[in-house]
Amino acid sequence: MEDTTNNYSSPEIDRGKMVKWILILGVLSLLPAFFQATPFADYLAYTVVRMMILGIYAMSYDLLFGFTGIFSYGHATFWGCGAYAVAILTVRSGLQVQDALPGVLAALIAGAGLGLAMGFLCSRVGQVAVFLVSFAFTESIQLLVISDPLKITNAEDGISGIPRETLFGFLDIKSEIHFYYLTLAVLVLSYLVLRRITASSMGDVFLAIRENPVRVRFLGYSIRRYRVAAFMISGAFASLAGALTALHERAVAPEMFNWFHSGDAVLFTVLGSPGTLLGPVLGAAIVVIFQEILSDLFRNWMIFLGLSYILLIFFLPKGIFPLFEKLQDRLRKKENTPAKPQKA
Amino acid sequence: MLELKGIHTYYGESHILQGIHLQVKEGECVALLGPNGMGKTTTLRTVMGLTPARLGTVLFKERDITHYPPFEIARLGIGFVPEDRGLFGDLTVVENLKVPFLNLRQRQGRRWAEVEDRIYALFPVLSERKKQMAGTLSGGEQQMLATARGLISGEEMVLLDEPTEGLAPRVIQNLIGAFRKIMEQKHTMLLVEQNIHTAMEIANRCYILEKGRIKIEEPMSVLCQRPDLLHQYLGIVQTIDSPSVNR
Amino acid sequence: MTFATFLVQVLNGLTIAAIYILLASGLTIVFGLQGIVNCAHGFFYMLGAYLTLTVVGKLGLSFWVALPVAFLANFLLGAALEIAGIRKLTSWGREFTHNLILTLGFALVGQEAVKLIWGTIPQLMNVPSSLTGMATFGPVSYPKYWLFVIAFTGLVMLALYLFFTRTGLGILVRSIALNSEVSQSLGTNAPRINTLIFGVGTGVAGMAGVLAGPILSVDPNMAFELLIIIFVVIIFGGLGSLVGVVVSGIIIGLIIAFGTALVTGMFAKILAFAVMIAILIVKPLGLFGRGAQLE
Repeated sequence: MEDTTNNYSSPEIDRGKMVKWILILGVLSLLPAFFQATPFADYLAYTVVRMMILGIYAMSYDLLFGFTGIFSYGHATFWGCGAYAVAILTVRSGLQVQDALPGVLAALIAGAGLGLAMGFLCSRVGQVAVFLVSFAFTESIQLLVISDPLKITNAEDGISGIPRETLFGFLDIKSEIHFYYLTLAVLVLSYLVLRRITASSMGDVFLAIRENPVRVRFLGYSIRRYRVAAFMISGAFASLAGALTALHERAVAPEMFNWFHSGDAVLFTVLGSPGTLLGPVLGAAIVVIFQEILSDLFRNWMIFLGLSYILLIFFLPKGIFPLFEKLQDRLRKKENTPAKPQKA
Repeated sequence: MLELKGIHTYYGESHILQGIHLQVKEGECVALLGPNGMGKTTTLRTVMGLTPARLGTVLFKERDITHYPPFEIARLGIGFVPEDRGLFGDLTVVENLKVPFLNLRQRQGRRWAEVEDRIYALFPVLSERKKQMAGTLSGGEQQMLATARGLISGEEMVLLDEPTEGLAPRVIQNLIGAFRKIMEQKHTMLLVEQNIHTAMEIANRCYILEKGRIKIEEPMSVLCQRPDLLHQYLGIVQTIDSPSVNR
Repeated sequence: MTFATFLVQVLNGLTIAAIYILLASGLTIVFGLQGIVNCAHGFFYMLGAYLTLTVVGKLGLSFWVALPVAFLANFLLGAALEIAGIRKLTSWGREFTHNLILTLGFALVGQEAVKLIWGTIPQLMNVPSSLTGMATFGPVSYPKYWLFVIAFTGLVMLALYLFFTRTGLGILVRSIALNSEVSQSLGTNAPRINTLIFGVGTGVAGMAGVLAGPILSVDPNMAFELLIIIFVVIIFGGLGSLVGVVVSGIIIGLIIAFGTALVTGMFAKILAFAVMIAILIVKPLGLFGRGAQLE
């Protein structure tokens, strides 16, 4: 069987990489300053925030699909769940909550809870069924939100007017720039936490489940429990992304449970190389860029989405990381060859 | 009829067959012996195209079939009886038999009734179980059905993988009787066996496969007279009297 | 609820079930055979409906011509997808997720193409003139066309059953579903048969689109809207089981019909999902599921 998995979980951080990281973070932190110099400051900041939020969303899916090998098509559940958690708590609950923290915490808990439910269902059925069941699960949640039996979701109209004032009571996140830095911080933190998890022994079990579930079972691990755990962690982070979006857009709607968002999670991860955590973040950024460019030019830009799926499968089944590797190899070769003539 | 030259087969990165040379002449029954896990099944699978060789050639009647898809190879007249029998459990006995029949190349000249008669002559038990689900047959009956299937598609040659494995001695004798009848009808067989006694009853020649290489090639009668080889390669301690296998 | 109303709802359930069963059967058979889920199945359904609009509307031909045209067009297109895409991926040893993504991409492209060609406004399809009006039996009056849809589906299912159990090709197909490798080692040209069955599945999906046209409107969301319920039907019935599809299709069709009549359409759908989830907790493989097998 052709090997289309990646194995990039290296726990050690070496000097060279540290430098690379600091550079990247530095650039990202200084971007808003660059944006101010252009006439589109707000639009650019808004778009990059979107990219970062989707990056968190993508990383959460990578944990589930890239690392644990669970091909779920229900990630939109968490996206909408986190968003609605914030919206309901701040707007519809009558509690007059102005700070962002309770909403975010509620989103995390709700995400883990839904992850538990979905994980419980999906861990019992075969691989193919997981795809179908997770899909159906998302649809059911969306129907529930639209039909609004408890009168808290405002049905089809969604909820708007979500406050975005402070975080922790004193950090001002009202402006786009401040929210930008908040999102950046959350992105970095999420990455570090997820990296820690994948590098831990739990992460090893996840990888093992992806590669050889039968073996894992024989070694005495409960695959079901680990799969549920993966769903819960993944769900919590995806909900976090949803919560950030709710704060960012300051409104939520049932469309957030649309299966397109599940498809996006898959696209970001497959494009960005599953199992790399960073790749999907990059994948999200690339897709956002393309979407921005194409949706302005074509009304039927979804054709390109479909085409990109097809092209990806045929030409980049492992995502973009192998391209980076090839590039690195080629650069290394260029470094080696000039040395030879000097020895003679 | 069948010739393997320098066959190297891998399972992923595992180098299972490391340069196999082997021949089966028309009308012969050749046994492939050796301890478990040495590549005997892999050899048959390579011939059948299920696990194609990475290097080397498989020649059938002078034709290079190394990279043919399995169904093409079957249609050339090579039948296959897999180790786990591979019966279609939810199909009836008759339906199992029909599968190879329906795929025969020149079916116009053949009628199902003739094929059926031939099979039931060899394995009368099967005629009593025509409508029974294959999954509910006894071990011996299942082996007979699997062999019958292999015979139908293997008009030129049959590959059998451990046909007597896990069967009671009396059943094995029954089966051997059927194999003898098949050989009398001028069939060609390549037999993988762990049970040396079975092999001795029907094979003319044998190869011993160890760690992916052919170590010994001898007529069966010769091997039986060599307790040292029997011990070294097959772990057999007692001497064996060679039965009268005449060809 | 009077007996007459009850009977009408039962018939409604059966009509809905008929469409579901037609669609789900193709999907589940392909799964049983090749172990893949064809996400583009909904697209073929949509294409069948839209083709009928042109065949009947623009070309002025009869509805009865549209049925075979839809079947043929979808058969060919489906077979092309299988040969050019799915077969390649399988021969490269890719996991099923790749086939899933491929068919999804194909469906998205196809859906947009349909929108480009036929426009995005929902359109109406007329009931064929020979089947307009109601049929009355006793206290019940029911649209003739809907009865026809039920009967047609029943015939198709019967034909499929006979095909799988009585014909030689049917035996070969079942053998591939049970053990493709062994079947091939007995001479079965599995790749070709897989393509054939795939094409038949998409062809039937096209016909389902034709039949559903006069009942549901023809709109650009058709492709994926129905697909979700179809997924529920095949999971509930057990992946790969034709019997399961029929039984679960009928159950879910009845749930939807009665649920819509007694409460709301949305409630009905939620109930259907809940039933599926409940069954999965008890029987993870669905009602008749037994791993990848074709019954």
